[in-house]
Parts: sequence; C-alpha cells; structure tokens
Amino acid sequence: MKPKAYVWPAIAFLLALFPLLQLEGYYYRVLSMIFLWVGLASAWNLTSGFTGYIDFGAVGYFGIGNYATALLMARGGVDFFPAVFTGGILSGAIALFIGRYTMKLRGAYFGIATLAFAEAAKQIVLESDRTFKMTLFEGSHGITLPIAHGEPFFYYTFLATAFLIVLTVYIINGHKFGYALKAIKEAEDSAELAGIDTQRCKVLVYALTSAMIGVLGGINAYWLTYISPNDVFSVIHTIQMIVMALLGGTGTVFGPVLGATMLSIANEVIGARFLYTYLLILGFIILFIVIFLPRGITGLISLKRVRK
Amino acid sequence: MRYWKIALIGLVMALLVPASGFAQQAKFKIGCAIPLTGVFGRDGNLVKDAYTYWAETINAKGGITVKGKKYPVELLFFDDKSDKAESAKLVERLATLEKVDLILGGFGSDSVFAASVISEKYKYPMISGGASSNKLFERNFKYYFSTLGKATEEVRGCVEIVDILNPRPKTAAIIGSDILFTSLAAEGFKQYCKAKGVDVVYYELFPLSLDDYNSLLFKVKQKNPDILLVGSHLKVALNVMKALKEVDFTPKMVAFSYGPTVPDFIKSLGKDAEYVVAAAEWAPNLLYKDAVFGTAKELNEKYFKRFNRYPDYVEVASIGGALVQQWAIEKLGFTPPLGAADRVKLMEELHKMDVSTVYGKIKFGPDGANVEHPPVAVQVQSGRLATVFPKEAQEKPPVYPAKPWKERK
Repeated sequence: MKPKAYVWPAIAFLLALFPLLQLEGYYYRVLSMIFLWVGLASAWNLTSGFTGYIDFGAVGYFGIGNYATALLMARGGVDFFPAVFTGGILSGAIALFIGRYTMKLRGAYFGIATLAFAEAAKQIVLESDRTFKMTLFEGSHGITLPIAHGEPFFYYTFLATAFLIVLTVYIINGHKFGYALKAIKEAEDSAELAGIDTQRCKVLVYALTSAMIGVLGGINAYWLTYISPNDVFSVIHTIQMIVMALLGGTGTVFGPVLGATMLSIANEVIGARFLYTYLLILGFIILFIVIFLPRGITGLISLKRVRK
Repeated sequence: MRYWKIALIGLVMALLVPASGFAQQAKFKIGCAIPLTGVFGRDGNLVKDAYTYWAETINAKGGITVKGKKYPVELLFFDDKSDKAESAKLVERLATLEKVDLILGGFGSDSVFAASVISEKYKYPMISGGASSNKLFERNFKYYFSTLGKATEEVRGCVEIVDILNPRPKTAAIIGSDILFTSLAAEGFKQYCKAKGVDVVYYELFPLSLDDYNSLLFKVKQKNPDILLVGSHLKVALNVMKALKEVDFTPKMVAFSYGPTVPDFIKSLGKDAEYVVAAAEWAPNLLYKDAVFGTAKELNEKYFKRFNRYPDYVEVASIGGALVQQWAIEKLGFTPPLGAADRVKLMEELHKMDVSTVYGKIKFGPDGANVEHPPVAVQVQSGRLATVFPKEAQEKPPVYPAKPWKERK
C-alpha cells in the first residue's frame, strides 16, 4: 500500500495540535500508550518484518533502555533526554555485539537465541546485585524515578519518537538498504550471490531496531516512574509487538502503525465494557484476522486495490 | 483507506463515552482499577469481592449517611491485567473521564505503585488493602494509604512465634520468589530471625517462573533447618508444599508470607496443608468489631453466606480501607459529587483517623502505612486456619513440630 506521502505527516501534525483541545488526561495517556506501541511494533517490524528474522527477544532492549535511563536519572543525576539517548545508544551497541552472533542463525534457532538473550538480560538485572554484592539494579525491588512532568510532556515525547521511527522505516523502505533487507527475506543465499553483504545488513538493521526500542524503553521508565525487571523484561511485551505487527501486516511501513493503533483502541473500548470477556473477544478478533487476513489489515487494503 | 479512517474515527468516538451511565440519583461513584486477569488475577478478584461486599452492606442500609441523608454507592471496576502501565492508565481514566468521586486501591505492589502516582497527581486518596511493599511508603506521597503494614513487618508473627515453640527452633532456611513483595517478605524473615537469634542456614531468592521446585527444596533439605520460611504468593506456596512432599522433607515448621490464608490453598492441598503456618493481618477470632459489620466472627460468617467462602485477610483489609474512607466522608459531611478541594480535606482527615474497625485498628502514619497492625500467625489445623500467635489472640496452641510426611495418613 502506498498512501500519498503527505497523509501521515498531516496526521502527526494534527496529533501534535491535539493538546490544544484541553481534553481529559486520560486521552493523553491512551494516545501516549498508542504511540509507544506504534513505535515498538514499527521498530520490531523493521528487523523481523523486513528480513523475516523473527526476533523473540526485542523486549530485552526495551528493558535495557528502561534500566539505562532509570539508573542514569536516579543514580547519576543525569537529565532525561541525555539519559534516554544514552539508553538508546547502549541498546544499539549491545545489539551490534549480540547480532554478530545471533544473526548467523536462521529460522527457529534465531528465535530461540533471541528469546534466551532477553531472559538472560532479565536475570542479569535480577541477580547481579546479590551475586556481586553491590547496589546497582536493586534486583526485584526495582527502581523509582523522580516524578516531574505531566501528560503533555510524555504525549509529545512519545509522539515525536514514534513519528521519527515510522519515518525511518519509511525512508529505509524506499532505500537500497530496504531492498537488501527484503531480498534477504525472499532468498538470502541469492541475495548474498547478488553482492549484498547480508550479514552486515542484518546486524545493522538489528542494531537500529534495538536502539529505537531502547529509546522507547527509556521514555517508558520515566513515564511510569517505577520499573522492575519482571515487568520491563516481560516476554508479553515482545508478543504484543509481534501481534500488532502481524495484525497490521509485517514488512510494510504502515501495517504496524495500524495494528498497534487498532489493537490498543479495541482493548480500550472493549475492555471498559466487558469486564470478564474482553480478552476472549480480543482473542477472537486476532484469530479472525490471522486466519482470514494472513497479510494483515494492510494486506486487505492492497487486495481491494488490485480488484478494482 | 477511507474506510479505515472512518472506522478509526468511529472507534475513537466510542471511546469518548464514559463506561458508566450518568446517575440520576445523587450517588457516590467509586472507581477501582484491579487485576482480574494475569498473574494476580485470582488475588484481584478477591479484592473485588471485598469491595462489592462493602458496597452491598452499605447500600442495604441506604448508602453513606451524610447529614442525615443517605447516598448509595456505585462501584466501577476496570481490569488492569496485572500490568503497571494499564493500572496507571485506568486510574487516569477513573479520575478524568469517569470523574468518580472516590478511588479504591487495587492489588499488587507493582500495579499500585504506578496507579498511586496518578491518584497523587489528581489528589484522590487511594487506600489499598492489597499492596504493602516498603518502597510504596518511601515516596513522600500524601494521598496513598495502606491498611496493611509494610511488607517486611507483615511476617513478624511468623518468626516471633519461635518464642512459644517447644523445643525452640535454632536454625531457619529462607526462600522467596524474586518479585518485589515476596523478596521483601524474605528480607523481613531475615531481619526478625536475626532479632530472635535464629540462625539462617540457607537463603535464596528464586525466579517467579521457576519450574523445578524440587531441586530448590532438595538444597534446603540438605541444610536440614528446623524451620522453613517462604516469601510467597499463593502459587509459590502451593508449589513449595508439593515439592516438599516429593523430596520428602518435613521442616518442623513451614511458614509462608502469603498464600495459605487464601481458601484455595487448603482446598487444593487437602490434608497436606496441615501444620502450615502463615502470616496474617486479620483472623476471624480476633476481638475486632465496628457498627457497620459487627464482630470479626459475624463478618466471617456473613461473607461465607454471600460468596460461599471465608474472607482472606487482604479482603478484610480492603473492606477496612473502604470503611475508613466512608467514615471520613461522613465526618466531613461531604455530599456527592466530590470536588478536588473536598478530596484534599478528605486526605487530611484520613491522616487524622484513629479508629477501630472489624479489620482492627486503623491509624495511618505520615507515610501512609497502617501503624496499628498486630503480628498475627495462623496455622492449618484439622483442615482450617487457627490463630496461634500472638498469645492474646490464640485460638489454639501451635502444633509443633510438624509430623513427617511418612507418618501422616
């Protein structure tokens, strides 16, 4: 699907004006949450959707971003923006290192390795203090961050970050690099033969994805003001990124944006009205889409266009 | 594209409508974000029942009485899925979109942590009966209250009981699952063991997702401690009991920070639950009472009639919280709807409260924790919980040492 290029910046611009309406704090929070998930699903899609390497450990970088930012702010007295930036760089750097090895694996082996990485990262944060007799991560006690800003601040921070991430994906999608990634998904060996340094491309995109997720993690930590390993490293987050990207359509630019938005809104609307059955309803919606729309919501749209 | 835009706008419009209808009659609209699914789904449902019971009892009498007029209460529950971000978002929803008059606390320290940041922001007092991690009280919050004590203090009774055991236990092993509340309980066990001169021969925190409890308990068995103290939730407590039986180890006493007081514990384990000790903040035979719910014993029986099970102490702690808030409103003479200025006064009033309820004494310290909470320990005896400590509240003397697995029928 190729919407006219100005539609999405226009939507982002309108969203930026949204706080002028002076609406209830709840809407900012819901929208902030949607932006967070749009960012996460889009970032995840950049590696997994484009190259076909399904990353089950994306939450590892989310957690690293959370903890880097929290520690820098709470212990180092660093300001929020430099802290978040450092968290993103750190996530990217770790991914660069991890990716050198995991990106040589294929299929299920890659999935398992990434899953193991995220779990290992969680255990390191949980256990280091006790093992090395130090006070850094505070294990399961978690870390409390200073409470400073209200809703508009996080609203804009999430909006700008999500917009930049989607923009990055959009640019890569039309760039030679993007075509290299898609070639890897279609036929990696042929891509290699055609002169693409597949390993380099894969590691680079993995690091880029991870840095983005790390930045979102950092904002999340400051937003919630309290983080603990079991929460920010929870595999549920990875699953949610995958489901959102799948719903919208993987390997597309705007699929994950749609998937994340629709799933979040559906959760809000249904969750408030059907206290005990909403998860069941959501489950059926997801099941329906996966069975009948294997290419996601964007797949449906492009299908319609072809028929016309 | 057009269809999806229309669909999206439609969905957002649907969002704009608050979930509950606007009340015709003047009512107190009270909201609560609580885990009904996820890790704490079971526990959260207990707290939901507790608030429901409180509301039903109050409404049966016509509602909250303010200046001689009665105002019924209407509860609005949202499921936070045991997730911090969800909990914060839902409290924001309650405060800004649903515009509830009051908010009641949820369950689980992690969720309440994030939720209370929001209630503080909107100046809603939040009294919780299901979250007690120490860190909750270290933030200089003015609007967060807890009817429970702090997590490390809750397990005091389980250790101090050694004074009345014969022969007095000398060694202890402490294990706990590595999440906030249970690791704090383990820490509390350690502190009180030190204070009581019990030697800690083994100490380990394990991941909540641990599958192999047998090897963990086998390590404990090799240290052969007199007593085993566990920082636990219900699921951990059940797993530890099953593993103890499988590795065939019977410490002279096993005590849990939380789990055995949940009715499911005895139901699931049956006879294997015998002799197990647990920390509690409330027991039905304590001599507590108030004008609304009668004595602790009466509450226990009536609760059984309503839900076909006896209440856990977390439920009574939640009822206590709701009750204190109600009394503060009655005293201040506030009628619905409550404004922001009213809630500031309500917060100040709550800090002054010093009352006796069916849950026991409630008096909040400057940090919001309940300073008046007795170190109760209960033991499973003949298939039911009996209060064994402190001595003043003792229903039956503690059975000690526990009978080895092989000699049990």
